[in-house]
Amino acid sequence: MITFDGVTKRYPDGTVAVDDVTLAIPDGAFTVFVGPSGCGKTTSMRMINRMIDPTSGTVSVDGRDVAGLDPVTLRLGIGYVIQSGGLMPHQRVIDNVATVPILKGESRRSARRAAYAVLERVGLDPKLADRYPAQLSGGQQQRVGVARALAADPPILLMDEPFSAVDPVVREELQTEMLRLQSELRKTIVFVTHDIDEAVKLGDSVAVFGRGGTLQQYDRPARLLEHPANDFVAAFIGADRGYRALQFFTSGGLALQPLSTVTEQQIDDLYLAEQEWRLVVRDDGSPFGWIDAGGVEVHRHGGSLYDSVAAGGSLFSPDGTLRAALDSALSSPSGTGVAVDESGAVVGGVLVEDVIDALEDQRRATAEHPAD
Amino acid sequence: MHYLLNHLDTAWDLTLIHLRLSLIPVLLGLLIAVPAGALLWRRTALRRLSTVLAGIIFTIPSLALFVVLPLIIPTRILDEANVIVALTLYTTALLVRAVPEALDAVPPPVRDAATAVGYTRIGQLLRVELPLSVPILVAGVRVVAVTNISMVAVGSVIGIGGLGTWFTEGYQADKSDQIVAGIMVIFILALIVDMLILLGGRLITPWARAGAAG
Amino acid sequence: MMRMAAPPRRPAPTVLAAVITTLAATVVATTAGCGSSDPLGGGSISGDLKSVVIGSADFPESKIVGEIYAHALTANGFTVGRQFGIGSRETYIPALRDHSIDLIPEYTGTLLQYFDPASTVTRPEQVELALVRTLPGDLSILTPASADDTDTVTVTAATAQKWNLRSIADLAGHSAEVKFGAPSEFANRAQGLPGLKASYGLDIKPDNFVSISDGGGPATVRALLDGTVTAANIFSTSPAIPQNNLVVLADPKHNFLPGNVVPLVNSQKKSDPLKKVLDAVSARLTTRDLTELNTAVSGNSGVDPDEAARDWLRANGFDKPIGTR
Repeated sequence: MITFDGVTKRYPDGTVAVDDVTLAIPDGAFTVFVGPSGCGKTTSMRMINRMIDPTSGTVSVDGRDVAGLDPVTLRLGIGYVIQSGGLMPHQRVIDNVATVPILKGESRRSARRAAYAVLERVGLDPKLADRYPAQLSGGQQQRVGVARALAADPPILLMDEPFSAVDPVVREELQTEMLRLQSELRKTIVFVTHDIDEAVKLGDSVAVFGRGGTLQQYDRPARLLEHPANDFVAAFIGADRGYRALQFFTSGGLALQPLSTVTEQQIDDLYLAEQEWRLVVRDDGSPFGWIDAGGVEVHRHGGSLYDSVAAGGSLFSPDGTLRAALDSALSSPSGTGVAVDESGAVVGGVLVEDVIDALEDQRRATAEHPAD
Repeated sequence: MHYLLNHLDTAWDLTLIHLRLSLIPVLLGLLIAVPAGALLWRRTALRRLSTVLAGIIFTIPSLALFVVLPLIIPTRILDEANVIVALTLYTTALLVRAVPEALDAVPPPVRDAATAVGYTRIGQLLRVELPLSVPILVAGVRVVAVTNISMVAVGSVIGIGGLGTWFTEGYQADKSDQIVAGIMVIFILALIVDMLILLGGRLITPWARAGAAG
Repeated sequence: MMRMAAPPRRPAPTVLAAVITTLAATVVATTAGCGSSDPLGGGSISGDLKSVVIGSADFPESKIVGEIYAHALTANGFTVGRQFGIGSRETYIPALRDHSIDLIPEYTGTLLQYFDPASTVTRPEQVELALVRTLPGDLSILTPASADDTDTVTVTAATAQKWNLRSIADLAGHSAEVKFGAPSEFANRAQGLPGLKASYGLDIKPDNFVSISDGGGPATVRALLDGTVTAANIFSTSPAIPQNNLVVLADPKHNFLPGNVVPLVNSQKKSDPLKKVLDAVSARLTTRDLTELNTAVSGNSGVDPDEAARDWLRANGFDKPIGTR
């Protein structure tokens, strides 16, 4: 358990970076500190491993005030990941990862062995172990940073905007990896980000920091989206928080419409009315795209499949979230979202109205049986 | 060229002397300046003071040093050691400034990460900051070494100038060939030493050679 | 379940090892020729009397005479080390006294002045006697040679003809127009401007004194030839004098001290064998020899001091041990 008790950080020139923050971070939880830049989220996190000391108030780890602990020993027991990776450029990847075990006194051989194991765990090819950080891509470097933080198996992991500097595709991969890792390791993680979507996606709890280093709200992500504590939080979450909140509703209860599909061979025999669309599937049942009357004409006259078919919308899984289902319906040219199973085969369709109905049902269910 | 070709063995002897006199002070200077520079690095007041001191050392004319040093240290006036000590004072003065500057070039996120993962102050200095300062430091050492090679010629006022003695002899005896030969050999020597230090620096910084991928 | 990859072999040497290797290699390489400049190590207090380190000043004549001493001694069973090119008395006198060198060619008059600036003697015999008396106990001179190299007042042939100059006194009448070139200390030395004024009435105005610091060498000669100075202090055995038809003005009143070449030695190394060899050499060394030797080494076509010295020694029979001539 990590606790902040009335913690304030005031600098000699008068700026207040953290203002009277009190919160408790339970063991094994993924806690995100989020907020605009300069609101004290990083400063607060860095007080946990004494990179910064509070001016007043107490930060405690497992009941012990960190101010009374030797900083080096404390830090050896806390994993730390920063935005640019912070890898030692002059050491190979494997030595970077083995840093903390070696600092703790393990032999080089046993530290390296542990390092190789962690490399695999974070999804890195062991062949990269002998490279230097500069020879890795940004995403790979970030994974190495995470591996280094995990190598000595610390109970606490501090992560300072670790995924901000990579492109969105890589960022999403890393976020998914992070969730998978956490489900395996169950560490106490404190994660700092300025991106509310990332916070809501990753965190078990989210602490929103505001201007002047004040704690605005500390809540589970779903509650944060539904019941922002004040205008600041609401504004920070942004205009489409309702849409975002949908990710916390499952599409389990969603009724799927049967969806008739055609293969490429059957296109020429189709007769479609205006505004009528048909889903074209491949041989393995996976969706290719939507075709309308005009597309059928093009195909009859010798056009390729690509030229005849309109690109489909996003796909969703029946076990996924309402948000995915709604997006699928909204982005489909035919107005029908396409549900696929694990193998990618089409299992049904959904209309926007269906999603809204499901949402109402779930809301009613929650109101009648409030869970907390 | 005739002069050089006719005096190849003298050239070789003088070159060895010249190398000794110019390179040993660089090594000694490093041995002193690296720990001293590391100590001064983040103590601004001390660092400024050392810069002033270094500047003062530079204003002492070398001939005065050669004559005064035997009074302070147990060398005799014509000992090579005398010249080496004098030149070491100069190289130390130069390097004691170059070392903190090279340390400054270590990227702050790397230093921050090193502290955060649990390096001690000294551990961080020895295993992270000093190694990473090497590329910039090597650049400084190259300058100091090449400067020293021409400073050694100064010792010719007391007959210990290595290849510089060809300048004074050639001038006195009106032998322009000898002077030109002296200039050429010193120039080539400086080029070779510079290149060797550059290559040596590359050798001990394999990570800098590895280059970026993807 | 994937098998853990075996850790590869230890990669390239650590940074530290590489640094140490480089340092060691450099030290070894540069000390390879250690001691080549001074194989005898400058001698200890009571060193072997048959081993001698010879020094010289940094002008050619001093080096030639130094080589003459060196080769003569070597031919007579001495082990000789060389430490040539030492710039000034302020450096080589202390070097003699702290045993960095044992022997150096000197000039009687100026050496006397160095130790006794107030001395007033002018004749060669008087100077020799005064030197023996004045030198500190740890330094000694051997027998001086007749070879004499002194300061002069020298002009171009054209100037000599224009003003009909034969002695310094003849120049006195043109004092106001005379620009004089010499090392800066000449302006204040007893035999310098003050002496010229006292002995000959040659009064050089301060503005007309041009300080040239190469001791009568190439720059001074150039200044005289291109008219920057009217007269200059050029040493009497300079090859520039015959080469450029320069005229040395006579010094009948002995303003300038004699400069007989004499070996100056650390008293502890003054042995009978040493004296025997060097006195024999000094007995044969003439002023004309000095001028010819200086001419032989000067210019790009000139030979090395070493070769000029050996030629002289051979011509005078010193290439074989004394007593077998």
